[in-house]
Amino acid sequence: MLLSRLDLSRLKSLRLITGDSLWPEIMAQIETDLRQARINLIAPDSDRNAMRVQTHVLMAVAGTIGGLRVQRLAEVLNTAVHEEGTPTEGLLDLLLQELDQLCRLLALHGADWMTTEMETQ
Amino acid sequence: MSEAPLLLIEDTPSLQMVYQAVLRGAGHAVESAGNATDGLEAFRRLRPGVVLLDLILPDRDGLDLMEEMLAIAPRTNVIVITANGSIKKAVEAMRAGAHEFLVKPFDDQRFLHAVENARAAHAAPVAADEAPSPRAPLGDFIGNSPAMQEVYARIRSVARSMATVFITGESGTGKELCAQAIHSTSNRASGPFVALNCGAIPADLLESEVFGHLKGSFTGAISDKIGAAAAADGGTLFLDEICEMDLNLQTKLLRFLQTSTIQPVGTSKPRKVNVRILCATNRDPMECVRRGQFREDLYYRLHVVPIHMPPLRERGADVVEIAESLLRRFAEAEQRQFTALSPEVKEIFQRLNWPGNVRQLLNVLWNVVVLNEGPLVTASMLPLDLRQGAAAAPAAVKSLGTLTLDALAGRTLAEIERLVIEDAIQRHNGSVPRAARELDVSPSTIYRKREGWQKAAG
Repeated sequence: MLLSRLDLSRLKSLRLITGDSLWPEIMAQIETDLRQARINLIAPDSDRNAMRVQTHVLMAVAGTIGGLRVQRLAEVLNTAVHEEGTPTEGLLDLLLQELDQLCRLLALHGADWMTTEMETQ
Repeated sequence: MSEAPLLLIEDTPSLQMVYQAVLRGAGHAVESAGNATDGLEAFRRLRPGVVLLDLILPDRDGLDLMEEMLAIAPRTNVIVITANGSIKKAVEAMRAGAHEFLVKPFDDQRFLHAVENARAAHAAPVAADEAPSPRAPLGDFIGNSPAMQEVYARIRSVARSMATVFITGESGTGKELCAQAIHSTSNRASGPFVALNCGAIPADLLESEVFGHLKGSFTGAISDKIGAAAAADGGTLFLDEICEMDLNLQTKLLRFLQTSTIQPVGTSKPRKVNVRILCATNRDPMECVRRGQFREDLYYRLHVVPIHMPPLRERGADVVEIAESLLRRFAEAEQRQFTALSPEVKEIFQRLNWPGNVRQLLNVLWNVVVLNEGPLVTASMLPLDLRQGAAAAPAAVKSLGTLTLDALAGRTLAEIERLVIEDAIQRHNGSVPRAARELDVSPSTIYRKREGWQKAAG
């Protein structure tokens, strides 16, 4: 279930704080930032330092919209990256899968759908 | 004149948009920058009182940028923002002068609280005693030894910040006095100071002591109780003997620190409070972490600015000054004629080990005042065990003085190490941190060794 990837109460609270007029723009930018972090993570020159920076971004952005699984996996990968010698490949694959699901959710349904969905909660 | 806008330095565009929206929604003017170069340019131009700074920036280390901004305008309150994996870096930032740190993602109330506190702190007038003598005694402290001057300077530098202060030191060294001095020097001085001894309250009652409870929420809850955290709203909460706190409650304390929200036992509705946390222990907190008695994440949350209270034996002539002050107080209370300490007593006091520190000194003087008439405190008035301790003290450690290598011959390596350490401390007028710097070891190494020597001496 895609919705289990999002904490709608967090999302609802975010919309209340930021206001309806900015909401679509913010959600579009969040999706862009998540996708950019993905591109940076799999770039040929991506190293442990790049992973450290990108997981930092993912923890914050995914956490802000209630993308708890991506946030948690980014935290775990970030910890692994800080510990020299800890393998990261498996964790990175898992994170990319979750990130894809979250981006698909945002792209398919968009801010309007989520607004409606939240109102029914 | 209108207030300067807040400066937000955050490189992730969506987060910059969210933070701006939250701040503007709360009525704050904000200017934003997406990297360190633009941030520094905006800082020079706007001279904001409060800066929100992401520690991980694409073109420069955030900590480095913060230090440059504080060098330009030292009274700026910088709130550093970081994600979970970089808390150690945030702690470094607090030690380097940041006002507060927030861990992303954070909720809007916590965010706005931090900003409002930073703005209020910036607007507060600088205390008159801040500038002239940062090393002069503070609050109820007595004594001007170099070790205490370092403590006074640390208290003054940290008082204006929201940073959590972790006070360590042996029993009787004045950890609570230190907490009170921080509170009364801070811009929360008009708010409440609430002290709670975590070691003195049974584990099953501690949660309601800290967070409060509703009538009927458990057997014995005969009325509503405001917990210490709510009672300290707008002020300072001092958690003494923090290492004695039950592990389950440590989890709740960590959540409280992260969210500034309390949920009294028996309620379903959380409540925001605005509290600065100070804590203390007479144990080695890192050792408690290693033993699994203290949560590591809570340790890093709390151990932002450490202050170590030196034991009385390292405070040189302070012991005489404190003793004379106590003597006047007790003489008045007990209606005795005591006016001074004899030179011999002064010498004995400076030679003694004082394992119970100021508390022990206080008991000794009270005993003397109650059992004698005065006007001079003489050696014969001192309790017998103290006189015996004084007689044994000189044999324990002798200064290295002019000893040569030949004079060290026949001693064990451990004895030579002790002589060298004691000599360094003496040459630095009792300052362990300075001696440690000279010997290129950490102060905790010296403190540990001294504890070992004391234990070995019984």
